[in-house]
Amino acid sequence: MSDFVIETRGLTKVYGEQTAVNSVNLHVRAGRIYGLLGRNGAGKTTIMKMILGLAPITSGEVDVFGQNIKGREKQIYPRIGAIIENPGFYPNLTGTENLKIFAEMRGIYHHNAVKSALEVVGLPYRDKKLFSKYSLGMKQRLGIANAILHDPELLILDEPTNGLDPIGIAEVRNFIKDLSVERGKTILISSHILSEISLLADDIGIIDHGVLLEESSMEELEKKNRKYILLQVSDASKASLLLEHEFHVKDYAMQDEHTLRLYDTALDVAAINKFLVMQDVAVIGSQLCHDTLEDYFKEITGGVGIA
Amino acid sequence: MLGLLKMLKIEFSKMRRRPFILIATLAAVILPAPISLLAARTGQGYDFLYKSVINLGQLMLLIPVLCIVAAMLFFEERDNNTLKSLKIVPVSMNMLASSKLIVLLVVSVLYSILAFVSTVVFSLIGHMTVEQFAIKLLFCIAAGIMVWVASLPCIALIVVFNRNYIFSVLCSFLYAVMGFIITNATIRTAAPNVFMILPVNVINRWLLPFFQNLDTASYPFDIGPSSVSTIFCVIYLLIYTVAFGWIICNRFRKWDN
Amino acid sequence: MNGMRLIKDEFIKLKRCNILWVGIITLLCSPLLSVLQQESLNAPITDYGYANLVNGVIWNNMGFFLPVTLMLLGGYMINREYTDDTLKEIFTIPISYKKLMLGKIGALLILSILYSCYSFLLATGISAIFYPGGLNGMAVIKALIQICGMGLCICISILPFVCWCGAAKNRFWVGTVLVFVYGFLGIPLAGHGFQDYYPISAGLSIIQYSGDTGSTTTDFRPEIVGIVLLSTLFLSLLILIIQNKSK
Repeated sequence: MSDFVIETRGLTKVYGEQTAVNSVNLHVRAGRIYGLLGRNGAGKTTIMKMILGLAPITSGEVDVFGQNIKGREKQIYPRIGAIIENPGFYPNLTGTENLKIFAEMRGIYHHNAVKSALEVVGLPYRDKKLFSKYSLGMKQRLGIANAILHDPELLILDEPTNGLDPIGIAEVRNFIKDLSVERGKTILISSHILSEISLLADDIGIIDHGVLLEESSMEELEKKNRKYILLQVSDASKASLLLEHEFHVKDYAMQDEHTLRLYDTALDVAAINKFLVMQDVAVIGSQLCHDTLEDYFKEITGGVGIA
Repeated sequence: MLGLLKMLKIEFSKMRRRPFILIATLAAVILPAPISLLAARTGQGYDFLYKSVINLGQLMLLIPVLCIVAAMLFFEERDNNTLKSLKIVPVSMNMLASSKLIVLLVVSVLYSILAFVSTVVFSLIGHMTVEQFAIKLLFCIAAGIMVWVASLPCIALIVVFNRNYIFSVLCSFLYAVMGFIITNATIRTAAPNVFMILPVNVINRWLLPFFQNLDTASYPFDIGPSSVSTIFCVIYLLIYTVAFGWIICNRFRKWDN
Repeated sequence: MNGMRLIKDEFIKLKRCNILWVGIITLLCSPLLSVLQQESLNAPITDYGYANLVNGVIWNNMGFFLPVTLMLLGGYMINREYTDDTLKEIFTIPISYKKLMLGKIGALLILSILYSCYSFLLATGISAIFYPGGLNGMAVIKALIQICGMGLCICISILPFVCWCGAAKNRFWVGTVLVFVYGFLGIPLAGHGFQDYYPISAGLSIIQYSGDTGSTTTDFRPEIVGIVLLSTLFLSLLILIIQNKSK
């Protein structure tokens, strides 16, 4: 029996001439939150659709709970709750009526199930407001409520904080964390917002242009991210030559004409400051820094302008 | 069977606050009003009103009503982005499509009953005598079921093309009008003939003996060669139900969100 | 000239819209069905010619095709302001709801004439090929006036529905079904002496329709027809004024 709740092998999706997902090997472990991080159009939603069997696979395999979904929908789907893209509901019905319909379809007749699900996401029970009048945030919350209605073991959430205000985002984040930590659920969540993934995920997969560039746990990723001494000086070129000559600094990078990054964190910062000032190079600031996930993401994707 | 009943209940609960269904039933109720006025003006009795309501209200108007309701039922899943949520419940697309078709059958029968009740009410207002109440109600319901079958080819077209509402409305009105005109123009042609590819044509021919026995003007031609037997009509409509029902379910299954 | 600019804007908004095909397809059916009716009858009209075909086209347009076509067109032009969410932009120009609707009604009236011209061309073309009897200059001019006149009268008669449907999104689907009933009821009513009283069929009297309506009476009462059509216009305006207050 596999340790992985979701496992993909060589998962590929081709639309005509375009490869949307290219040989992705994803591994989602039980009881953990897996953050699928990528820019808009990277292939996150397509991967999720293929995992759920909502989009045909061009090549490769997907196992959910150690099995192929195809042919076993009745056994596997009740164990999964999902939001894919914008959640769809009937605009002429209220939120409660919409959930009751889905509850009935899932064979859940306990009226508390709908009430509890709505309470968790902060929506009123038996409210008169029609879905057509819901704000974007309310629609998203209702989608989450629908996904957890039947208490599934696995949650697949495609950008669940989309459209939520900062407080709503924090609430959803805490709620997702609770589901994983306290209720032991496995969660696959996608986002293009790095800060969200870094706060939430136990494991992370970075996807860009349909290719899974990196897959590791957050702990390992943090270890990989480099520390450095950030030096802000009046003349970075002069400072770098001086440091090379005097302190034999080889591992450094010039960020701009006033900023240097020294990757050897064992260097004596005080001595460096004093030396540079004596050589008529003004030191505006010096501090110990750490690469963020954003820096790491930019580095491995070579991208600019991420959210 | 239990699954289908559950789906039917869910389909009806989704129809809350959809005014079109109400308007469609209102059309069934209102239509007999001007016809009863005509009947009174021309000194015709209840049978004229009854026959006109079946001809105009069911064999013509009910078809576009059913097709537009069908478009609403099928397109709501596409337009509200609910297909993927339904697929992962999981809900069988065949079951979903079948339940929608059965809802349409129920709407058709309800419409027919309402139309009949409306004719009785207006006839009472116009001091017309209603005879053979039970058999006339039965024929009305039978016509409603047959018109549902007659709508299936147009509904199949709507589901196959999966376009917008304008296309669906256009299709349904054209189908209804052309069926009506072609049937009236070719009713004297002996059965079987090529025009009987239209279900409305066959239904009209089946109704000929029944209408001939009503207290209205006789047909100015010998209806014998034109009419069809009940067995022929039932087999014909069964074939259409199975064939177009299969096309609709098969095509709907392939709809992608 | 503000009103003319609004009407012109409506036509610009219709650029590349598939809705225009609705009229092209439905009105194509009208002469074809007239031909079918003639050819499939056991006792067809002898010496079936241009005038008969034109009468058939006018009758089919009135009872089946034109009311629904115009309702779909008018309804679409109104409904798109809701679905495209452009009303708030329009109101803040400012252009009042009443002015906006009058522009759309103006455009619809022009479209009714244009589509009628198309229907006339189809009828004349088919007649020239299959039933050339009676096809001459005077008959052609008369047919053009009759078909276009009837088209305009039908458009006026459905205006209350068009205005009513403008008040809410997607209401025009309901209006289309109601107009369909409204339209084909013109057939039996015209044949039983209600021709002048029923708005849809009132135009038949104005254009001096010479086809067989099934009626035994041929008296044309212009005062009745005038009152009926003017009442329809007045009702449409009243609906617009009431709706304008609430928008």
